[in-house]
Order: sequence, then structure tokens, then C-alpha cells
Amino acid sequence: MTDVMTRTKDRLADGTRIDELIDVERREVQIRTLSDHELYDLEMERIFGKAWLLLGHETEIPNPNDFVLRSMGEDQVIVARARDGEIHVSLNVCPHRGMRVCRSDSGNLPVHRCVYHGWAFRPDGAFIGSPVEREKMHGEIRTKAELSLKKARVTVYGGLIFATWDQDGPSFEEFLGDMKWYYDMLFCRTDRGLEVLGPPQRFVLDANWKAASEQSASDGFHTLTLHQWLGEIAGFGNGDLTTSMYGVEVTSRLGHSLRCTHLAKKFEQVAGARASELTVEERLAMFPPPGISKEMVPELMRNLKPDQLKLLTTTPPQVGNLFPNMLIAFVYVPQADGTVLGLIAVHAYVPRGPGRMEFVNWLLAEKDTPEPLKQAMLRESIHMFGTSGMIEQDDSDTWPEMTQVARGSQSRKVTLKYQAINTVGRPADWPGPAEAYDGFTKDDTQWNWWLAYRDHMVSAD
Amino acid sequence: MTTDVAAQKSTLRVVADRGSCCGYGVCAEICPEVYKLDEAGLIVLDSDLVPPGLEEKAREGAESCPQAALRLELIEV
Amino acid sequence: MTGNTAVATATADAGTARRVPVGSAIYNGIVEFLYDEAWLLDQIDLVAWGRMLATDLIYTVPLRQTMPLSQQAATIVRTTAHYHDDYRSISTRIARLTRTKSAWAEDPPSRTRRLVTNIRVTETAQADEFAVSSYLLMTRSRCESPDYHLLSGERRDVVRKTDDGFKLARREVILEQSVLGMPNLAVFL
Repeated sequence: MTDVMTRTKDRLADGTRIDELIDVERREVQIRTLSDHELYDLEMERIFGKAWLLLGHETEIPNPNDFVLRSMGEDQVIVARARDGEIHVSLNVCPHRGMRVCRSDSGNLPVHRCVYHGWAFRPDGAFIGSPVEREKMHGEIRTKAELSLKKARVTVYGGLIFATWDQDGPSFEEFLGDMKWYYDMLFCRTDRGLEVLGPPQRFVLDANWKAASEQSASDGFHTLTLHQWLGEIAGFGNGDLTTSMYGVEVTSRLGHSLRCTHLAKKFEQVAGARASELTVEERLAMFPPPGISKEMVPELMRNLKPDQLKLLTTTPPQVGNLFPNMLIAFVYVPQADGTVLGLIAVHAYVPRGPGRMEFVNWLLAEKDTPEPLKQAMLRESIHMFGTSGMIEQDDSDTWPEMTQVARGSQSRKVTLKYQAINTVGRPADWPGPAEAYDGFTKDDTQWNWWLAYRDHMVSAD
Repeated sequence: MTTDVAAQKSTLRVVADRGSCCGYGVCAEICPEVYKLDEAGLIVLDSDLVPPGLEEKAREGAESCPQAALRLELIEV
Repeated sequence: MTGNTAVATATADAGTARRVPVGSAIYNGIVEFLYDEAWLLDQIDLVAWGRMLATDLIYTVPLRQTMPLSQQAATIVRTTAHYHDDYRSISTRIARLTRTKSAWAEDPPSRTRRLVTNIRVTETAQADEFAVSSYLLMTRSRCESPDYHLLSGERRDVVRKTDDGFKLARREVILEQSVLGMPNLAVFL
């Protein structure tokens, strides 16, 4: 598909206008969006060719020449640290004859050499040369600079590595918009930051990437039924998941969102009547955020603004997303011994065709989290999230069914509904920016995700 | 690194595996003082000892070999 | 890696430890144990399967990575993992699947078949514990899809002989796939 075609195309082959797949008036989305091949090809250009995409964490490649292989849409990229410490993202396609240049999932190499004809590249993607230099096997029509691997634009935020193919598009800060204030509370709150607890879990399922991604945009409602077991096993939901449906959802038209949940009850359980008189510092020490030990509390006080600290100790963000395909989880999981363990995970839902996606699950902890706590977090994260995670195994069994359904000639005309609209609005004295909705979880965050999707899909440049 | 080497009164020796060399010529491009190419474009050394002051360049040249045909050894003099 | 002294893997022991010959009483007993275990899992009798587990069980499924031939040890990742469980957490998983009415990932359940072969048994430093390596092929059929989810691997077990029959004390499953081809591991391996 040529750039010209994809840039100007505003209708699918059957005449359907792309912008009409999402009915803005009625807040409905045609299910065919989960199975349409033509739409998928356009998404690869207009979303995965443009947006900032999560590729990993800088602690996966701590040393010069370290690299990992990752994906931006269906394009495989080499994420590598160069000699000078800078992180580079290069398309893993040899400009000579199209062979994959790098074939190990991770490693440390000063030179990436294509096994096919031996063209060689530095970790920053620069073309070194080919055998035999004297015979000029790369010719003289192209300069060596022109023969480098195609480079993506990179940013590192809170240690997370993001890249985009859009060299002149919005900066990562602009891409985050006013939601950055909340993400800073999660990713930029300690002196030494987060680290991965190992390479990511990876598995492929027969589902469209959007089935998973629109859910990650803070769908709190599904917890009540899909994750009902949390209420059935004593200790997790205390038998009543409905109360945990109340909170504050923050979101923006850029498609990002977070669900913040009230801690008031937990403080009452721990501190009783004195709960309302606790200072921010006392609250942080009593109930530290995921992965934060009591000793690290002063770091939070240093790195966050008073309003952010207030939120972190009353209504902290727990789960949410970053458009287009990243899930964020900073959740509190009650333990059998009555304590609460905080878990940190991020996922990328990577497209692998209209009906397939790869689930990539990174588990994280603060670098300064004491080792025993890190190990406890790691194990509990494996029990709850990802491949065998008792929570997420139910999610990953749902998305393939939605995707399968979306193929039927009648089914595809059914619409996804986002008509549960918050009527409470912004909580009084809410200190944070962006849209904020108080009360029972509603559809506003996911609807913003679809509006952002629509914006990307209809913007012709 | 250079000062360490001097202090230890040791020097670097190049071990070149001509069988692996594919004539990329990257080594000769980075450190022509140490790495030479023959008529076929393959690695040859006038001397396998790295002259003082060229340690870093020689190391970079060896590290950049796409065939990993060059290795540096620390030897006592 | 764990507090259990007998957790050396079956393959690591193969060079030095004494082999338990095929057809011997111990070997036969362990084969029956593995067959019974596979049968119970395939019948979805998880409570009965749970009774075959030692209370000091360590149950892990490492990740795999694609690496060059020269770095094969690094293909097995034991930091993050697909499973990293002990008896208590496996019991919680069993409770979720058997005692709640909403373990949707396996309700309706997959139809599975665990084929266990290539069983090699060696003695360990503990007289009552045996290192058991076996190959596992699990076929998993889910809902109306005619395509099987397949999963193959090597189980590296420590099986303990007790007055109450054999018990599984340690299991590490070395999978082949670096990217799993099924939507979850809501089933035991």
C-alpha cells in the first residue's frame, strides 16, 4: 500500500466512511473494527507508523552494546545502547536484501552483522561496511549513510523506552499531554527509578490488538463479572467487588487514562478513627505505594509535588493505559497474612495481523526496593498477571472470542456500546489536570480511547 | 586504560584470525597504524604489538570487526 | 536456587548420579505416578492432583529466549517466569479453578491431553528422592476451534517416595517456545 493511498483514503472498499465506524453522537463502535483487514493495514500506517510505542525499559540494556529485539506494530526493531550510552531503535531489516540483521532476542554486540551477505551495522544502526570493502559490494550509488538501518525517534521516560517512526510529529511530552502529571506519580517518583525484574513474558493469542487495548483504557466495569472470582476467594475482594468500582477516572482526548481508587477504607482499617488526621508522610509510611519501602518515603516527598502526594495517599492511580497499546498496572494485592503487596506491570499489546496479537508483559519494581520485597512482588505478579496470571488469564480468554465474533456478516454490524456516561463530574478539590470523573466506573475513559483512535485514523497529512 | 597499561609495563598484542577475515576493512579504517590490508583486502599485521598510545584505537578497531576476527591480549614486556 | 537440597535437575545429575533402570520397581512406580498425574489433570480432577503434591513443592516454568548456539544456557530465563509457585500458591490456583463459580479462562474448560514420554530417572543425594526428566506434549482444544493449542517441553521433576505414595516435590518445565502460542497458562503442565 503506498503512502499516497493510505494518506488520502477515507473510505473502506465497500464505501463505508472510516470516521463513521465510530458513531460520535451515540457513542457506538462497529464491531467490524476488530476484524477488518483493510482497516488493519491503515492502522499500521496511521497509528503504529505514527504514535509513540512502548518498547521496553532501559534497565533491560544497561551496558554499551546491549540490545533487545522488539516490535513496533509488525515491524521488528533492534533496541540497542550505543558506546556513548544513548539508546537507539533501528528497523531489523537489512537494507541490502531484506534479511533480518539480528536474530537473538537479546545480547551484547558491538556490531550487528547480517548472516546473509555480511552487511554490518553499529548499535546505532550506522552501516559499517560489507565484505569485501575493496570490491565495493555495496556499490557507489548510495552513500554509506544512506545504507544505514532505518532509524526510529526515541525517548526514555521514567526509564521506559518509547519510539515512533514520525520524525517530525509531536514530542513525547505533547503526546502524553496533561495526563503526564499522573504518569509522573508512577514512573518518576523515586531517585533511582524502576527496573525490570527480568525479560518480558510473551505469548500470542488470536485476538485483535484493539480488543485488549480499549479494555486497558481503564475498563473498571469488567472486574465485577469477568474477575468475579476475586470476590469469591476470601481476602482478595472481601466478598464485595462493587465497592471497589467507585473511584476517580482520569482521561484525556489523547486516549490515555488511569483509574484511581480510594484508600480511605484501607486507612480506616489500619488507623481506625485517627485515619482522617494522618499527615501525608504518616500515610505514606503506613501504606506505601507498590514497591516503596518505608525507607524510601522521603524520596517520594522530594520527587513529587504536594498535590501529587495528596493524591498518592488518598486516591492513587492503579490501572490504566497509554494510547495506543500500553497497559499500566500499579495495584495493591491483599495477602493471606493480612498485609498488602503492591505490584507493578506494564504490557504492550502488539498487533500480529487483524486476528492476532502478542501480549508482552514486563514486571517491574523500584531499583531501591529491598530484595526480599522485590522477589515477593515478582512472584505475586506472576500469580496475578500475564501468562498464568489468575486475573489476566480471564481477559486473554475473552479477546479472541470478541475477535472471532467480529467476522460474521451480521455480527460485524453489531456495535460496541460506550453509553454509560459519568454524571458526577470532577470531584471537589481534585488537584490534578485532565478530565476527572468521580463515582462508579463508567465508559468515558474507553470512549476517549476510541475518539483518539478515530482522530488518528482520519487525520490525513 | 592507557595509563593502566603503562603502569603495569605491559602491552597489547593483536591476535588476528585471517581465516575469519572477510575484508570489511573496518579495522584498517579505524586504526590504520596497526591494521593493514593485503592485496585481497584481508588483514595483515606489520607487527602484532600495539604501539603505546594507540591502545584505544586498536581496541575500537578490533571490537568493530563484524567477523570478530580480531582479539587483543595483554602481555608482559 | 531453593531451600530443597535435592532440587538438582535431572539432566544436570545425569553424568554422575546413579541411573534408576527402566523396568525397576522404583522406575515403574514413578512412571505410574506420572501417568496418574497426567490422567487426573486431563480429567480436570485438580483436587486429587493437588494431593500428589508435596507441601514444600516448588513449581516453575522459566521463559525461553532465542540466543546463538554459543549461548544456549542463556536461553532459559529464571528471573521472570511463566509460573513461579509454591504449594500455597498452587493451592490458591486450584481453589480458584474448583471452588469459585467464575474462573472463566477454564469455564467452559479446555479439553487437554498430556502425553508423557522419554522418562529418565536418577537417584539423588536423598535416598527417598528421585530426579525425573520426562518429555511433555500437551494438546489443548478450546471451545469450537478445530486447531489445537500445542505445548511441548521437558519436565525436570523431583519425585519423593513417602508412606503416602510418591509426591511431586519440584517441577521445572523447560518449554521450547520463546513466545507461547496459547492465550494463557490457565492449565497446569
